[in-house]
Amino acid sequence: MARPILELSNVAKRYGGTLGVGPISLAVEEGEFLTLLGPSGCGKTTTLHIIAGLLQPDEGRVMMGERDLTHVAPPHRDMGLVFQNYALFPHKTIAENIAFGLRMRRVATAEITRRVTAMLDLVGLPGVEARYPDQLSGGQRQRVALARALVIEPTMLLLDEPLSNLDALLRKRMRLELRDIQRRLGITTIFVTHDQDEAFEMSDRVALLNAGHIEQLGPPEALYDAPATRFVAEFIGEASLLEGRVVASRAGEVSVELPGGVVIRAASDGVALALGAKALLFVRPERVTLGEDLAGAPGIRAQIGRRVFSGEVVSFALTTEGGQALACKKPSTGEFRALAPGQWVRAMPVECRVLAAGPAPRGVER
Amino acid sequence: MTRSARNFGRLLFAPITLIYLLFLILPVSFFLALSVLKYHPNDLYQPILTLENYRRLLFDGFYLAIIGRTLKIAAIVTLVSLAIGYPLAYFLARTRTAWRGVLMFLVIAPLMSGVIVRTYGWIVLFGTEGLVNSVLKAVGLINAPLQLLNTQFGLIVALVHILVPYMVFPIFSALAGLDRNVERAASTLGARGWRVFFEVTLPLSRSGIVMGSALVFTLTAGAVVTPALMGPRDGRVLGQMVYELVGSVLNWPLAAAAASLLVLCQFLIIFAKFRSGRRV
Repeated sequence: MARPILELSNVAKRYGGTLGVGPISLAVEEGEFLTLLGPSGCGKTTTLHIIAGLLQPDEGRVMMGERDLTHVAPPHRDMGLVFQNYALFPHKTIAENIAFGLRMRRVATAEITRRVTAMLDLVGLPGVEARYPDQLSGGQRQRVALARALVIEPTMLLLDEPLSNLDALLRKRMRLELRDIQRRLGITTIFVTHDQDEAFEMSDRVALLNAGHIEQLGPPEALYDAPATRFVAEFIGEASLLEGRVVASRAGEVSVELPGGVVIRAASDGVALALGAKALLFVRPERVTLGEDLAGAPGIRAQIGRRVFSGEVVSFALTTEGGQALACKKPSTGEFRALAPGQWVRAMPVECRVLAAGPAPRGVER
Repeated sequence: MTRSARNFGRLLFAPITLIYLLFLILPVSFFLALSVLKYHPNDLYQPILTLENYRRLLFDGFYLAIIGRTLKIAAIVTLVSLAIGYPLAYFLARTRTAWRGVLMFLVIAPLMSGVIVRTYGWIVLFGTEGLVNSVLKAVGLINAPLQLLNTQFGLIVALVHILVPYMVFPIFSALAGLDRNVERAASTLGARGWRVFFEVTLPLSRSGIVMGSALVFTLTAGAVVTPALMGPRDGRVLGQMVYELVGSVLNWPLAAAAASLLVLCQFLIIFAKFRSGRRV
């Protein structure tokens, strides 16, 4: 990746004395697609508005290269912002909407017409110049908002949940299209969303926000495989958390004994744990093996509580002998389809990680 | 919707339809009809069709002057109310102060006293021995009291005072319903300072401006009591003239023609409002 194009350092915003957001530090690389992901109220939109200049941070600095943007007003920032509700000018035609930023920059009329047409082609909406926003569908308005933000050739594109008002099918298509346009233009993009699928499918890197600070920043794979905190583990995807005691500890790996006596090895990089200490094991449901409940077989004895069939996968909610919940997802093949609630099985988590103990996430929407 | 629900929906329109028929359509039709009949000093009118009444109003300098003056005063009052009302509405729509409710109340407070009471309030202020003259005299700006009552200036001030709420509230609701993100979008696209206002805020509050202006204009053009109490003796307006023609001169056909012109004027304005207010 190239040099950072935008840097937030210790940016904080207070609302009437209480800390709304921050302190947040974040370096955005040139050309990357970075997503601010988090539950509602986590401060992702506030952060985006600080970047756009619509909000002034109470502390910290916003730098674009050598330029200090902290107190620069939005019109001078050169950023294209797409709002969640699109915020098109209802009294202007589509052409006038897109032309607005160019007009403010005193671009010649002929040039404006040319670029508006080119932009409408880019977003796949040619020929709607003379219409008004209320004559377009939600998806079309979204494209116009994108065109309006892109036509000024901004340094960065800022997207505030632009897909959340579209129906599910269109949303999926727009994800790919948006990413496509972003790649083609090579424009640095910051995308705000509460939807993990959106974040994962589109982003180079994801910053997961919680209660105004960044819990973890990294490629989607890193957030999924190696969550830094319990919040990340539970917000991203599905995960089971098993509590046990550390019985052996080596560099980067610990052995944890669960209630019932099963010992499980888990990766522990970055988490220091003493022998005999309580440890929280984290395991993804697709990384649990299921086998028959035979004496001497490896794994934790567990009983199937609920079985959900959803086409390509079957999900099981297990309760271990020790009374802990363990989720498990299996391909929907014969042997797994046959498993029924009430049955006892042996479950073996593979690729476990220990997590630093922390508070459970707030406001996780499931 | 089921058939009965639809019928019930229609039924809900019955009271307002009845009121419109009885108190708007019927009287308006009555004086429209009366306005094309011939005046007769003893029988009020004769059943002879004529355009004489309209001819007198539109070609007799005396009446033309009254019509012209009425429209001029209405236009001035509308513009002044807009100039005062818009900033006030903008402030009310945007302020976050806890006093907003109180401020809103103050705006509508003038409407809570009757027109006579309000007008007498102005007489107390504007009289020869009134507050304004006393203060001006006390600070030495004038030697002799100014003639404020029964002048066109006094009339305009009084009308603006009474009618400003009619301007403020439509504009307030237009501004309060405006999506602030649209202004923010303009700002991020490069609109600086006042450009956001002129490109976005003002055009998007136009429906409120048009509605408020139509209200103030028609109410001013039809005003009777305030001009009678506050206006100049030799500068009567259309409303007063109609009132006199009906009450003392007893030329009902001419009064009907004048009233028809007034109503026509007002309908044209309201019609223009709905045509221009179509978008947004």
